[in-house]
Amino acid sequence: MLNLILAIICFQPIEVSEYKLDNGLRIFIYEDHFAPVVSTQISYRVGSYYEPKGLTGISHLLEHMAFKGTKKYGPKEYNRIIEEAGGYENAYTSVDRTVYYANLRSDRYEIELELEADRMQHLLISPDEFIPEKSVVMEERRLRENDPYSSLFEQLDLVSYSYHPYRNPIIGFMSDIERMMRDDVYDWYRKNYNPTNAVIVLAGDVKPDEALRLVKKHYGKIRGTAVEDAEYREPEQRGERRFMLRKQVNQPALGIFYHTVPSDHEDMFALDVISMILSSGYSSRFEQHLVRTKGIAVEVSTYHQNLKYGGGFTLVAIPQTGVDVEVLENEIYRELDQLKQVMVSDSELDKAKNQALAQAVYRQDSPERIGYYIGQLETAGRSWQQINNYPIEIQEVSKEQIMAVANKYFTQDNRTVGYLVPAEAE
Amino acid sequence: MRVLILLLISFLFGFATNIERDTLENGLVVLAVEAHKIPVVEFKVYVRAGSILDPPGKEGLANLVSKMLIRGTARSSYDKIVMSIESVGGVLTPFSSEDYCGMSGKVLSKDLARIVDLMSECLQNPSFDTLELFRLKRETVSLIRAQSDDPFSVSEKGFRGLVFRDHPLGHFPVGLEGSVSSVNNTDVRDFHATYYHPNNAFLVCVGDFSRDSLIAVLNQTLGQWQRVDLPSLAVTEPVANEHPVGRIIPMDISQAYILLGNMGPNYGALDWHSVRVMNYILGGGGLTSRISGAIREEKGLAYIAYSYFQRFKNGGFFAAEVQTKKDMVDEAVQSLLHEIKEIRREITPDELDWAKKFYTGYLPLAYDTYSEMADIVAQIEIAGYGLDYLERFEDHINALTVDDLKNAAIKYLHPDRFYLLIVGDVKPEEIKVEGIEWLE
Repeated sequence: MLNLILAIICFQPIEVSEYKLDNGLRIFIYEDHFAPVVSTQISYRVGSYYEPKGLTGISHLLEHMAFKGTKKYGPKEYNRIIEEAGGYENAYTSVDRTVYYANLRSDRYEIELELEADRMQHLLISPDEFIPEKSVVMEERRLRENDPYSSLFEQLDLVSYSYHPYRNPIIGFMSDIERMMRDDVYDWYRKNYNPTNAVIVLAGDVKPDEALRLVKKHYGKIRGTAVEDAEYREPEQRGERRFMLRKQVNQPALGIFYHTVPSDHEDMFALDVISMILSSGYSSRFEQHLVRTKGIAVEVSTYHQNLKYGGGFTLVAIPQTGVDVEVLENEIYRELDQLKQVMVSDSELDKAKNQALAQAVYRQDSPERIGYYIGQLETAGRSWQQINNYPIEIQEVSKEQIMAVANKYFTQDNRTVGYLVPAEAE
Repeated sequence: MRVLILLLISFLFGFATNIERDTLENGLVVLAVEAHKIPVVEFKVYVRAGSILDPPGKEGLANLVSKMLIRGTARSSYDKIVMSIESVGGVLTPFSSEDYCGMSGKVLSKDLARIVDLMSECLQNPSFDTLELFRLKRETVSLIRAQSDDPFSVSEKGFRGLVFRDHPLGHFPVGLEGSVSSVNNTDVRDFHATYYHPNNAFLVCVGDFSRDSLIAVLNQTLGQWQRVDLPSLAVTEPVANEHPVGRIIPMDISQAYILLGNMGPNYGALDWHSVRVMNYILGGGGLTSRISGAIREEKGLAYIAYSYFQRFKNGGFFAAEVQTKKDMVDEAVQSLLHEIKEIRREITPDELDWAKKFYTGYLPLAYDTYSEMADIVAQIEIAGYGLDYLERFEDHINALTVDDLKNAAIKYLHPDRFYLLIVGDVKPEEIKVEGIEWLE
């Protein structure tokens, strides 16, 4: 308990300045003057969740095409300009947002602001560039298909969600990518990329006044249009779902998914604590019981994800050589049953809380990472304040809540179980 | 005070950060960087006891020894060790690599004494419990099998084996299924007794502490570690082939995973900056580099297409890596060879200028967090660059000429005697390059 109090003292809440331009663009500035570096991150609220049937992967393909030239800058020029400035740039697409970012010395972050303003308005998506880039994305898709665990995750989402767009892979299905036309991508760009649908985060060695002036200079005159959000709710699962995925593998694997709660639900904190108790560190239950003592698993990891319109608690396990997947599956249920039937000890709960607090402090090592969380929360309709509230909310979780939440979500009817198994020899 | 500070060198690098290098009386080198942004301390202990010292038939031994460090000591059980650190939200993880093994740790600064004490105990007095070793071996063998399902892992391990064959760099630190199984308790104890000594190690410490308090803690802990005479580390340099050699590892996947390269410079190479900047232009510089430009951007053949050099104390290698559709494998190999030949022939002043701007501009981004600082300080120590390396870095880069880079390309890239490793459903006759000796 004393450790917990000491750890709480170590956590300094972050401060963020926030602004909104008339065109709807929201700006968040997080100051950290440790190093002369600024991370500039722009998020658009578009990702696999918003994609219509037949066009899965279009947000990701658009992200690729966003590096292929505007009226002003030719293909690859964006990368070249950032590199010549000694910067690091990249982009990624997720379920609910598409992000472009660059880290640069703090005397030159305006370069990225200018390039992103250009990208927001003037992408060409030229037909000549479209064909080879589509093949690049198809190669990216093949890489995932060749990775047995990626295939297992993809299948787990597909079976766990029967209707909800969270079932679709972010990269899209191969036939959708293949069929996609240049105009589809261009229309998707026109619909989604504008200031109202965007969030800019500046994190690092930045002065709010100057940053705001620069953002206004480059974005102030761009017209904003609201993009309609769509709310899909997955019908309640009423019965276990199981599947087999056969691939050329030596070692089988197991994935289990339980539906939980969206990111604004209070149960998420207890579920996060459970995830820590089960799999965070060498002292966690899975590591100590299943990997080490019983020697039946190479690895058991858990992952609790809360998105805007739904959440899930995922367990992935690889059995040790010669151990049946069924045996491992049953041992995992035995561990979950323990949580349902036996109250966790004070020391185990304190450990999880300390881990959550320490991780919140460790995160502040990197302004880029704090910027990532600000963008993620604000794009998903939540507040950056969550970064400060989260470690406090975790401290409030009680032993009784953990037991109640385990009983509520870890039920047979609420789960989907997938086995990755070696394909039969021909 | 038992620990005598023999030597204290200090340099200011980049943005207001001091790197201090002390050598304790027992020979342990301590590299400390104080930073007070957040109340966190990062530690890394490097012991010159990497997989390059694995005896033949015991591949994976160095890795097992490092993993055993936290699995019980004379004073504490495995449970007690990990509970002690994780109950305060700390992290303590063993690591293994070709040259060094050791442990890395991270704690809130209030727990500095706790983690140093634990690391000290783990390094000096591991109990090498027989049951724990049995468990670790079982986990490791299963892990190696699981890795054999990942084509990336299969191709990178396969390439190492092809290039370095029986040389200890020919296997990954994790070892091989059979050799890991054959390791016994005596092997582990002997390896530890031979190499785990303060005069064969260094400690990196970055974050929120005062140097005086750190030294006081070290006095009580790692300062007590007994110095001994070390055996001479007689590792032979690997010997390269005189002609192109290839190997195909069959796997039922939709792409071919290709690695093409040759042996490269070790840490001692004085022309490393030329090599590094040359490779940036060739394939190390992201989408704008030549390999990515030709294979990904123009032809759309691959998502990943890049090249890199990896250096060790003894030996090193160059590799260009591409994953592409099976029927495009020949075109990808031809493109890689073409780019390797071309960069030996010509590098433009414009390319050099651009690469220089990148490296000099990027410098503060390379160590803007505690964890990156710890890594860069370790790199400086391992390569022997000198503590003022970051101060001098810009001058080194700016002094490079086109001829320096071309000479590095001619010296370290060998399109006439390359190694080619392909994982996938591919036949040798699909590769239309003359003179490759295909190995089984």
